[in-house]
Amino acid sequence: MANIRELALTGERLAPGHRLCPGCGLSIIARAVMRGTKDPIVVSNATGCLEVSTTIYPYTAWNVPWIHNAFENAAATISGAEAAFNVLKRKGKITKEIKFLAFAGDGGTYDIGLQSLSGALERGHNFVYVCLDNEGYMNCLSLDTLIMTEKGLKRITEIKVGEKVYAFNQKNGDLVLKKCSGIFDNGIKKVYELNTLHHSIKATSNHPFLIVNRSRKKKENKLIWKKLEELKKGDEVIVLKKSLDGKSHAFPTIKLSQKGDYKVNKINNIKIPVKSSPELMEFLGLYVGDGWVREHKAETGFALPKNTKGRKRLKEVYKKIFRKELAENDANYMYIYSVNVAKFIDSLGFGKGAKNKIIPDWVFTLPLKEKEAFLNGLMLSDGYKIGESHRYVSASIDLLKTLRLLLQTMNYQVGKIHQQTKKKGTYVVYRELLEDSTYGYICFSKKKGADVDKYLSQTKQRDFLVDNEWFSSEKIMNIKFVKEEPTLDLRVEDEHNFVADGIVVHNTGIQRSSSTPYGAWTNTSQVGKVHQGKEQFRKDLTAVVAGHHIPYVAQASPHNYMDLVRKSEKAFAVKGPAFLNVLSPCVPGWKYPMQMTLKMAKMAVDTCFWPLFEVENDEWKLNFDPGERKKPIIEWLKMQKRFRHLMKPENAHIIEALQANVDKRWVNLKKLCGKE
Amino acid sequence: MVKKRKAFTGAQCTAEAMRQINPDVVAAYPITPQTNIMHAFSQFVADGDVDTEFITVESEHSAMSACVGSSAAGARTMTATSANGLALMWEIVYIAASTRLPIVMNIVNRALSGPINIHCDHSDSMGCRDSGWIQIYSENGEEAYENTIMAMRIAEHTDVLLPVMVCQDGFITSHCVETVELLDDETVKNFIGEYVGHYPLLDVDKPVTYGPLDLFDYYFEHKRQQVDAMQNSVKVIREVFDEFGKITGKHYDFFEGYRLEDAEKVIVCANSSAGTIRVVIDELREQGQKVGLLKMRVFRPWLNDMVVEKLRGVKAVAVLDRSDSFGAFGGPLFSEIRSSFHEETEKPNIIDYIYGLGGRELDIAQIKKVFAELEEVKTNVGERVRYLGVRE
Amino acid sequence: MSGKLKNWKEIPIGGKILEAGNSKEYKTGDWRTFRPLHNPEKCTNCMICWMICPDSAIKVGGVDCPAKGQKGVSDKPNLGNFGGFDLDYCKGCGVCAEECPFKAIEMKEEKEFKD
Repeated sequence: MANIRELALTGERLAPGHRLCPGCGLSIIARAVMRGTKDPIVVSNATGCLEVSTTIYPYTAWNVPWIHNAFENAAATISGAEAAFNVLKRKGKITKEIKFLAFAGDGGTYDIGLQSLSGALERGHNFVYVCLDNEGYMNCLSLDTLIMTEKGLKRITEIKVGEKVYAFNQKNGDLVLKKCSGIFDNGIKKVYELNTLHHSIKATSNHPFLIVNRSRKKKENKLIWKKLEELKKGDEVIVLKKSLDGKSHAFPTIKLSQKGDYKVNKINNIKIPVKSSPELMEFLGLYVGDGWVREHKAETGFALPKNTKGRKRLKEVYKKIFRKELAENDANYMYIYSVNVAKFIDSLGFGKGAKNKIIPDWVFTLPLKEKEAFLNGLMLSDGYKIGESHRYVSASIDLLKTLRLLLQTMNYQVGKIHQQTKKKGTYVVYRELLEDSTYGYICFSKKKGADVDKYLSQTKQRDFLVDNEWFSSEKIMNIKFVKEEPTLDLRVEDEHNFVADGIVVHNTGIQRSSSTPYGAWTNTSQVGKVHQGKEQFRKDLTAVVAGHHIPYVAQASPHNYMDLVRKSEKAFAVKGPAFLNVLSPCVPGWKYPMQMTLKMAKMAVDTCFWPLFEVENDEWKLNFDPGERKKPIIEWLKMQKRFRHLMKPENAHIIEALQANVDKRWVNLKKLCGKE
Repeated sequence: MVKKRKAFTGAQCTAEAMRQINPDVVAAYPITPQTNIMHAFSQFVADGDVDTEFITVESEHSAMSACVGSSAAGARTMTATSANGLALMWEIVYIAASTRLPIVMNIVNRALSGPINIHCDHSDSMGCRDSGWIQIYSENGEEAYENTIMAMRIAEHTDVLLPVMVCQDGFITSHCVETVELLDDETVKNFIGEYVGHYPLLDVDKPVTYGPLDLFDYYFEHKRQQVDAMQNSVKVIREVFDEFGKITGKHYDFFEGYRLEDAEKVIVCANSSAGTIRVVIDELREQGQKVGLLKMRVFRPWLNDMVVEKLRGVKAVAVLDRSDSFGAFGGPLFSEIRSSFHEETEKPNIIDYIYGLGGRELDIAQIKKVFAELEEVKTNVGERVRYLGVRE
Repeated sequence: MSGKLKNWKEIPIGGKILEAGNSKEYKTGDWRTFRPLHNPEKCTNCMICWMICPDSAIKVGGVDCPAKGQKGVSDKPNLGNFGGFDLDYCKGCGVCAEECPFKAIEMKEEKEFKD
């Protein structure tokens, strides 16, 4: 058998650019298995993660002939291809040696695909069947969801494990900070948009939301979780009223230019602010609306014409911040010539151009006063008032999205983002457009509270969280299908929920197969008051296949890759059917940090949950016996959040039953392999 | 070309066609009344009369799956089934058509369960009329033989590349002996030629991906291509019919008329009932009744224009449907015929008879009854959907 | 996805994809929040990282790779050497860093890089 470095020169049968989750075991295994032969391979692949993520039309990651037919017939399909090869070879139309390989998940093998596999094995076709066992039918929030974290709003893709996010304490209704214990890529899913009056969130159809379940007896209104697909217009979801009042933000120190630096021969003596203040925030509001930075010219500019309120205010705040007068040199524009001011503004994270400005996270953590000042600055640039309603216009939709969320935390009512295209020359906010533009706008106004003290019982009936400081309920206006998108999800300790886009949402899940371990949580073997996860021990499919008395059967693990390659080589070399059952840890399904995939597989082997063995011509051979160092099953269970409910004292008996089952099967396996 | 006369059942005729075609791969699972085809073919395999790899799969679902694998690999592939076997492979039947694989499958028409019934009706093949397969119906064993051979040419044509279903009545055709005239091996072999696959899997130097995931941005376009293929098949079917007709001396068409020239009352039907109806027509013609038959041979693709053309001037039409679509207005053949006439200003009064379900026999008396009722229908349509032969 | 969507006449029939491995046109590198960094001092070119990368994102340098002559780089022909990370596709899963026996790979936050 070749060593790794020799194998490295054999080319890639599975190209990069596929969309499996980061850290997914399936492609690690597929790549290793396909190194088991130098001959050309024809692959039949059952419906599943591997198939879906590698062949999203018009892209394919396969550098070999490959066919996907349906979920339960990978074995039957490859039988047909192998038979075709035999006859065409006999007729002399094909002279090459070609190998046949079927990939299927545990679903397509243990469950719906079992019949097809059994038939193909019995008929004795010359092929290799690899079961990629990730112990379930594996599947959330779309990637641009914003999550409320301790440090402000962040995109879900930027959240790190361990970071604290805001969650809803279901017992007393408070807003609490909880640690994020995992981030999972759920792949591409159908994403729907749920809209209330002031909030909007995108989620997949099986994503749970916290809603008010009104009962006839008003006192028994309670909160329950319901999936998006079960919600309808009029249901009331729990949403965030406002967030904690923050404190002024201390800016991280940036490297400022000194006199004598490259190309710097003059430095204005300008003191750069170290923390935020209302004046600075107003200044930045003006910048976001009307400003730009050209660092190479040491220029910060504002498009504020003479005699506008904006210009006047700019001068006032500039004086307060920098203790200098700002010169008026141009009828239409104001300039600050300072390389360090330019650097400072650039470092704040507002973005540079008109179309991609955004409100950075730290602004959300500011005190209300500073936020109001920022809003003032914004309104002086691209906003205007119509009666009691304010309207803000911008070419940057990201800016509008973040502004909308910011306004909600300031107790404003905000409508949705409207988009318009206006032709060159039209007047927009008192200025003429220089070219055709697409831009958006939002309308908002201060919320008027209910007179709670006077009418507490009535208002409480209508809005039963009215006296809750952080949360209220809002009726769903509509739920509509958006598109198929990559989705991610978070796992939050203790509360099992978090605040995303202002709406309280739940952690998500995955379905059981006959390969799912005893006690595991899945979406179809939930953990609840009466049942605690899957109640059946998993099927021993490898033994079932061995019962077909085919030339070669083996169990393998991706962590021992050279063993896997060796087994693959043997499988391809035999004449007749060969079967490999390979454990494939799944990041979102088993719920663990993505870099731990191989450690996860190793622990399954070390606990004898997934023994490594071969059956060659009916002779059973054990490949690895941990002996004294066999670890208790709990060592494997505690690495995965799908078993976390088993860590509670009242579920200890489940772990005991699972340990007993693992031990029994291990002892029996050893007997079969001639080891006592 | 040498013709030979044989006394064969429909099953034997079909097996003979398969033997002469000598497909690369056959994957099949037994189900009455298809079994006799496969029994006969198995004997050919055992005797080395064919080069075929015969895969005795463990279910019909696997049968069609293996056919897909084989045809995609680049091998000429055939199979056969009936009723619930077809129902079990339903999922893959659609996949075979959308993957554009030229598989030829014989359907020995049998009723779909429940209750379980092994006798003839058309509920199975009519049930998958939307699947994208070309559907050809056969009146007797000789037609089943001919249609199977022609089907191979039609399916494999580069403008078509669609699978073809050849139907014959279960037991009535498949198990009854008739005298048939078959062609010699050489003629058939030359007629169907060699099969060259379209981007076959086994061409490992040019790896191709079959069966990717289509999102909403491409699925519709792939389906539109199937529509195009069906439209192309009209021309191809006609060419194949004409070419084969020159060999056998017979005339084949999508719809074939019998004594239609001045007919005022016509029955439209498919498969073996056509034979019985011809006997009645001849008798009634003797009595001066202007009656005729329109036999449907090709159901998919459906030709509106030909239907209208052939039934021009007819006053009353009775469509005989050997299957029903519960909740629809009449059976499938009736719906299509009616729809063909929709834009016409002059159209016959068309009524439907659901008959023969579960093998219920259609006899001479019942056909005469139909023609008698059609007399009334000429002026007063009355009940549009009727049930023939059920005990009310 | 790049480019305009094609109409039904412009795509192969039967849903077939005729360009093998064209997923290379879809760069998954922007999925990263962590980027792997290679420490050539500690690396012995064992190529375990290449073996286990789920995304085939470890480049293979041949015998003539620039690192030839360095510790662990063989002058024997037909042996692969570490040839860098393919950042067009690396999703930053960190399995390579976790599994490297010599701790020669470190994962750093993507935002610490300018590009």
